[in-house]
Amino acid sequence: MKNMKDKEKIILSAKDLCRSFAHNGGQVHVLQHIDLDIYEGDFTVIMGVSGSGKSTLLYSLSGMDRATSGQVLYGELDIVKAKENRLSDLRHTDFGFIFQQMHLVSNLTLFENVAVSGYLNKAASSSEVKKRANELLAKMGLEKVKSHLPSQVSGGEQQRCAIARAVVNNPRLLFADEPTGALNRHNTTEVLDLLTELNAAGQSILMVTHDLRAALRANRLVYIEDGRVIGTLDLPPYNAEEEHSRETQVNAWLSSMKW
Amino acid sequence: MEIFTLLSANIRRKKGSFTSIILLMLIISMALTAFLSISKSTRASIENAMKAADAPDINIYIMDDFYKPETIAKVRDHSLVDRVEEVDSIAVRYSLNGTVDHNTWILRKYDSEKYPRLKDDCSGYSGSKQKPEKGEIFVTQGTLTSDEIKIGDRVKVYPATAPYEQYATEMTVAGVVVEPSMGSAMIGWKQIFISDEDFDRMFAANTERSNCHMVRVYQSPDSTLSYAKFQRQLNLDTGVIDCANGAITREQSFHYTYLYTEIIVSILMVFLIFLTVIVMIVMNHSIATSIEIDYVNLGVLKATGFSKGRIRAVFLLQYLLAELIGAVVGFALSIPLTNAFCDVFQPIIAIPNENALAILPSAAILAGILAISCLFILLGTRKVGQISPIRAISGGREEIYFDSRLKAPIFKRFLSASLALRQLTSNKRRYAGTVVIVALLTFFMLTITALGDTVDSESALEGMGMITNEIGVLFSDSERFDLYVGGIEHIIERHTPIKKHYYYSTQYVSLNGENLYCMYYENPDVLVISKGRAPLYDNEIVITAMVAEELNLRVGDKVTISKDSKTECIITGLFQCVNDTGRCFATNLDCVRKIGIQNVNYAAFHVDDKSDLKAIQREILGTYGAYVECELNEDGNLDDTFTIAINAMKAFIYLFSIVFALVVVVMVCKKTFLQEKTDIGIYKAVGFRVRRLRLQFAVRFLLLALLGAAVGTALSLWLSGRVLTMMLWSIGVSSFRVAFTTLTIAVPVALLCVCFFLFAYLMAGRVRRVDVKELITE
Repeated sequence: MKNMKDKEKIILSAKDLCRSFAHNGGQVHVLQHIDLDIYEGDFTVIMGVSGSGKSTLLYSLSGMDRATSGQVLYGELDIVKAKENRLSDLRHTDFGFIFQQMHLVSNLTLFENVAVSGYLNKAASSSEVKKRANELLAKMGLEKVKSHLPSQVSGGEQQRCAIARAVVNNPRLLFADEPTGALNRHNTTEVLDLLTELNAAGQSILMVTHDLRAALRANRLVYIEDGRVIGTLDLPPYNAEEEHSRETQVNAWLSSMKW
Repeated sequence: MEIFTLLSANIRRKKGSFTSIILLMLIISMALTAFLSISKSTRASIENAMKAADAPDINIYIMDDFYKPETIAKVRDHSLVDRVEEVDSIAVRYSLNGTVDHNTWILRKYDSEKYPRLKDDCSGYSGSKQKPEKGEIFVTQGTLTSDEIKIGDRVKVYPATAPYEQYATEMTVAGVVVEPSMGSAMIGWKQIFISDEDFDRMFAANTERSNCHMVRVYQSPDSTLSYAKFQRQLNLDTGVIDCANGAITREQSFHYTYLYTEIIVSILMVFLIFLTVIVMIVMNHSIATSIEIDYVNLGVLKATGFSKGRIRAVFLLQYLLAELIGAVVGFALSIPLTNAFCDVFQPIIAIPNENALAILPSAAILAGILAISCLFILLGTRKVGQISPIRAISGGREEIYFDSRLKAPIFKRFLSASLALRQLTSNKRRYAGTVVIVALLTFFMLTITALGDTVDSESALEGMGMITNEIGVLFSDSERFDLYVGGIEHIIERHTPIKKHYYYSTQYVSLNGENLYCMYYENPDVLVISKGRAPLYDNEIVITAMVAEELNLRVGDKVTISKDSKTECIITGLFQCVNDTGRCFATNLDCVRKIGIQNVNYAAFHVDDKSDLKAIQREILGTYGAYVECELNEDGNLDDTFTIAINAMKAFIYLFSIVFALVVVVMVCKKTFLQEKTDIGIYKAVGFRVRRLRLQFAVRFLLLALLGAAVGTALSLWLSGRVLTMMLWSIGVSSFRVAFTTLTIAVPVALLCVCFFLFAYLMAGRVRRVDVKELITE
């Protein structure tokens, strides 16, 4: 098993993670005793049906939400117990995040949306940030529209900008919450290609999706049901030419998970 | 019914806005009702006291030397006169703690029916009919205030014509009475009541010919002339005012007594108008952002059949209800405020206040404010008509909430500040109201600060024609002036250089029959002339803008001035003078010699070094004490009462400006916060710390405050002088020169900016509550 042989490559580790919400005087247990390791360099995808707790797991792992109990270890740091300011720092140094609804700041240009995140990084100078932002926007195919406001570009362009923003500080781990959920087919492919390309260059990615096409890009699939991890599937790195056989394999696995 | 369901839901959901509007309206209603009530109460108190005292239409006092029975007989027989009463009186000067005061006391017998007693603490009428005992005096509350004396104090009185120790009679202040004609602290002369025994003894002695006649003239009920015209006509026909040492009409008594209240209330009323404008702006902003934030709900309501009229009616009722609650509560709270203010004014007015609430005028004005706010609300809710149910149902409000694509640059080094600036430049319309509010508050704070600074500024007061002096020397008779003034100057110059000297006297002199305060100078070149030139030749005078307006005179016009005799003069210019609230004119000594006035008897010195004034006074009195009085003016240029009033107004305006700043920031911040919640979440998600986001929020309001303050400062530099001139015209200020200093501007501006920054920073504490999870789309 991968988690046995590559233990030294674990960058994030959930131990006995639980998340409950108060509801109608009782408690809803959304995550139940989850143990999960995320490995450096992997493109990990969390799948599950609606309401299974996959987004809650992503947010608990990234520190956007605090688990009710258990641990999320990032090196020595337990994210569940980390102070708010430490988490803020983590978000512009080690983690990057992509939302389903892009969530770009609407009165900043695409360039500024990327650069503002970069400016938070004390280690980089202003000119370095600008250079990096320009490079990323060029890589994302947004060079011509970088001075546009988010409302002036397409959803795909907005999401590509959101990706650039998420990686501007070279995060160790990139979280993505259904990044193609709000996109059409063409834009979905563009975004997935970009993520695959980033992963191929060494970027660790943890993504939540219920889109099979998105799941195919992963080299590790985690299936979650009723707040528990019920299965994982390791795959070779994505290769577009083998997509059909990969799809068959994943479909079979998902069927076994009663997806 | 459905409207009321929506109304109660809206109020429940928007308790903050609802409470803020209540609070703002409460302040306006409370202050408005209190100010109108103070005005009404004061006027009613003066009128009633005048009726009770059977106050004459003209009070004329004539010293024995000038008294002509035939003149009084002419007055008595005049067709415009109903009746004339003559009261024997004695004109005296008085001293407290060894310093002789310049003002005149007119001693007379006490009449308990006309001049009721007050309790010793002046808290109301005592009901006592007891007359003063031998050696006792009854004074008005205004005397207590202006002379800083209290019951039990010993006062020395001297003949007005020769205020020297050998003629002194020591008396005890034993009671306070209401005397409405001259009893106010705003009037220099005072009627003082003594025992019949003391009066008969002093009147019989007639020491240094100080007896006088108080002639009380009552206008015929058939006459339709104003008090001023009545006095003028009477003087033209009989010359009674020309021979008088002083005269005051009922209207003037009322004016001077009410003046203090009038000025303060009118300044505060103007401030209140500004606050009302601010409330309208705040309300408009609140409505606009409510519509934007509630876009989905409003769209859904429209989709379910609510007409735009009904939705607008809900808004209208919601805001009107808040205003109405604020108005009613403010109305109730105005009662203690009115009483408190009246207590502050009573020592000046010297008449117990009637505490009459101005219910009808307040209600009428509040109704007017509500009507105007209805218009504002209806204008503000026009956008409801543009809400598309389809768009609302399918996705809610527009993602783009900003109104401008103006892009202020973003810098790494000043990240918070540049992001704050971007928020401003991309939301100009939303913040325009806040800028206007800050500008108005700055303008008013600067104006009131300028007023305070000007009364403390020698150069500003001199510029407005006021005499700034530290040493005043009054000569016992004008003949000794020329003999001793050189020696007195020599004494002063041994201690400090003299910056300026004024040799002058004052008397009431008729100008075209109108009894006016005349200042005649040996050196008329010291007069500050606002138009034309100083009166240098013996047939020249200058008048104030008030006299020019009242008597319809212009520079170049010819007039007749009269005292013992008449002479024709030409008006060579306009000057400013607050004596007798501007009802005065000035000329040179040669000119008044032509109407029987011999010489000046007062010398005022403005010196360079004020550290040695006491020694100078001792030396002057040591050398010339038998013939002169010497008074020092060490503390400043204006009476303490005025300084206290200006400081009180300043405190009031500053306090309410800060309260308004707080309410405005709270309301604008809340709405802005709701609009930008997603952005805040995004910033947090990319790693912005809470402190930085709060700072960013606060810096935005600091920038707004700076912008508003700049506009307000520019407005103030342009308009403050004019506004103050308008407000202070009634006390004789025809051209207010504002003494702005860097500090005058910096302090209020800094105060407002710091308040905006701090309040916004505190409000931005809500950033903590924004959870990044809100960005999650499940």
